[in-house]
Amino acid sequence: MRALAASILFALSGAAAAVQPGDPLPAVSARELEAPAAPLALGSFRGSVVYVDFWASWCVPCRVSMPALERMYRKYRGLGLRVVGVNKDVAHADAERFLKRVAVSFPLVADGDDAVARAFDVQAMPSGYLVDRRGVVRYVHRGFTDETAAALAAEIEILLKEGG
Amino acid sequence: MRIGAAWILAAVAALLAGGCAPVAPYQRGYLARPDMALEENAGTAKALEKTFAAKEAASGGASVGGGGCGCN
Amino acid sequence: MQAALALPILAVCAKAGAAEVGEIGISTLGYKERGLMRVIEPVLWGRAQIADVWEVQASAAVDIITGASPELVTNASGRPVQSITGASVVDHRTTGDLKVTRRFGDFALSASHAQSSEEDYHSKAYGLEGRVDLDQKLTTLTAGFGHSDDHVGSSIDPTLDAPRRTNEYLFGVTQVLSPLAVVQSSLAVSRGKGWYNDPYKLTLTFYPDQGLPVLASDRRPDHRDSVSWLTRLRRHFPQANGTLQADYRYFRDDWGIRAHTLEVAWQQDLGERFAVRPALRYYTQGAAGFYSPVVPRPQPEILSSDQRLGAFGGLSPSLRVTARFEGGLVVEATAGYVVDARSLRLGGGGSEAFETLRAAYGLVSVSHTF
Repeated sequence: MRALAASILFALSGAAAAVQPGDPLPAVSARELEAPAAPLALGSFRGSVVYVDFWASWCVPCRVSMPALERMYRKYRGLGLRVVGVNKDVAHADAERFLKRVAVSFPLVADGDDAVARAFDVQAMPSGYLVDRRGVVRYVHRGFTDETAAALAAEIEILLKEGG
Repeated sequence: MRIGAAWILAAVAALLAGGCAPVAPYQRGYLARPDMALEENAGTAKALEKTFAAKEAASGGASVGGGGCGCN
Repeated sequence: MQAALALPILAVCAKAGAAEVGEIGISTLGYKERGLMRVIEPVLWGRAQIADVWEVQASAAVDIITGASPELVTNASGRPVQSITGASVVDHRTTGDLKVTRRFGDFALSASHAQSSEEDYHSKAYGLEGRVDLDQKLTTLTAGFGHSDDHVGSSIDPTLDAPRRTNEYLFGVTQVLSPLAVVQSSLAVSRGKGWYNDPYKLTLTFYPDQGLPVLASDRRPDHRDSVSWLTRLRRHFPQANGTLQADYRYFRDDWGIRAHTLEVAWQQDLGERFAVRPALRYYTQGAAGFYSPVVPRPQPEILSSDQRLGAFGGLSPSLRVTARFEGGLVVEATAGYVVDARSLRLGGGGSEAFETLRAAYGLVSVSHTF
C-alpha cells in the first residue's frame, strides 16, 4: 500500500524529465554526509565549473569513478573545478565503508529521500553532470569507464577556459 | 496438494513481497544488502545442500555445480 | 546416489548490484546422526572479478564420512526394519568445481566444470549458461544446460563400473519487485539414463507360509526424468531492520516421487556488525512407485527398500549468527537439527517401515571480501 502511495506522489510531484545537456542545473540542496546540519545548495557553485556525481557503495563502476574524480579535483581545483558527490546509500555505514577504501576530498552530500536524484531524474549509476560557470549542464556521463575519465578531463579543460 | 496449494503459496508470496513498485536505478541500496542475496555464500550453500540431498529424493532446482554424490 | 548437475549458479546476479571485486572463504560442516553417520566437510571457495568483464568462481571440498549406513531391510522380527550389516567405515569424497563467466554488456555467458570422486563413485559434469539483464537489471533471464557423466562402483564388488548420463535444462527469471523486494523462480528439467541401483542395499523378506526367505537386491529403473521448480523471495523491512527469506521447491519425477520443500528465515540485524537468522525448513515426500520394505510376490523386476525413496516428512530448525568486521572479514556460525519421520509427512501416509532419522549439524564459515 505504501509503495502505491509513494508512486502516486512521485508522479504528482512533477518529477523532472531526465536532465540533458543544455538544461539548467536543478536548484536543489542537500545535507552534507559528514555534517548533516549543514545544507549545501548546488546553486552556490555559480562561477565555478561543477561536476555533480551520483555514487553509492553498491555501484561497481564507482570504484573507478571516485578515485578518478579525486584525481581531477586535485588537478583542476585551483583553476575553478568543483566536485560534489551525491551519495545514494540507504545506510550511512555503507558509505563509510566505501570511503575507508576510497578517500576523497571533495564535498559529499546524502540524498536519503531521493530528492536530488529525482530532480536530475538519474537514469544510471553512476551518473555525472558537468556544469559550466553559468549554471548550464553541458555534458552528462552515464556509467564510468577509463574512456569516460579521459573524455571528462578534456571537457573540464574546455569549460574551465570559458568565462562565467 | 496440487493446484490449490500452488495458488495459496503464490498469494502468500505476493503478500510478503509487499506489492510491486517502480525502482529507479539509484534505489538499489537495500537490494545490495547481503541478506537480500538469493543464495548463501558458496561454502555454506554447498555444504548444506548435500546435508539434505543425501537423505531426500528431491534434488536440484538451481543448485550449485554438480558432480553428484554417491550418497549411501 | 544423486547426480546434481554442473548447472551453473542461477543467481549469478544474486545481489542486485553489490560491488565487491572478490571473495575467498573456508567453511567446515560437522554433521552427526544419532547412531549412524558422522560427516566432517571442509570447503574452500573463492570468487574474483578480473578485468571488469570476467568472473571466476571455484570451490573444493572434502567429505570425511565415518559410521555405518543401513544396508539391509529385513522383516525377520515380524515387521520390516533397517539393519546395519557391515562394520563402521571411513569414506572420503572430494569434489571441485570451476565456473568462468564473461560479460558482454547486458549479456553474460558462463562455462562450468565439476568433479566428484570417492572410492565407489566418480562424476564429471559440464555446464553452459547464458544470462540477460533487462530493464536496467530489474529483470534477469537465465537459461542453462548441463551434462553429467557418472560411474558407479562398489567396494564389495570390484567388477562393478556402471555408467550413468544425465542432461539438465534450466530456465529462470529474477525480478526486482520494489526497492525492498526481489523474487527468483527457476525450473530445472533433468533426464538421466543408466545405473541407479544402490549396490549395497538388500531386502530380506520372510513369508509366514514359506520356509525360505527371499533376498532381493536394490533394483531401480534405468532412467530418471525429473522436474524441479524453485522460487525464492527476499523482502527487507527497514523499520524492523530485518529481512524475510523464503524458498519453496516443488519436485516430481517419473519414479512416482513428489516432494515439497519450504524454508522460511528471518535475518535480524543487531547493530551494524551482527545479525542473527532463525530458520525453519520443512520437507515432505511421497514414495517411489517401486519402493517397498518387503519383497512382494511375485518378485518384481524393480524394487528398492531404501527409505530415502519412501514417504516421509522432515523438519529442520536452524540458527545462524553472522559477524562482519572491518576490512571485509565475515564470520558465520550455523547450528541446526534435522528430524525425518513418517509422522511428519504432509497429509499423513508416511511409509510404515520408515525409521526416524535424527541429526544435528554445525557449520562455521570464515570469509574475506575484497
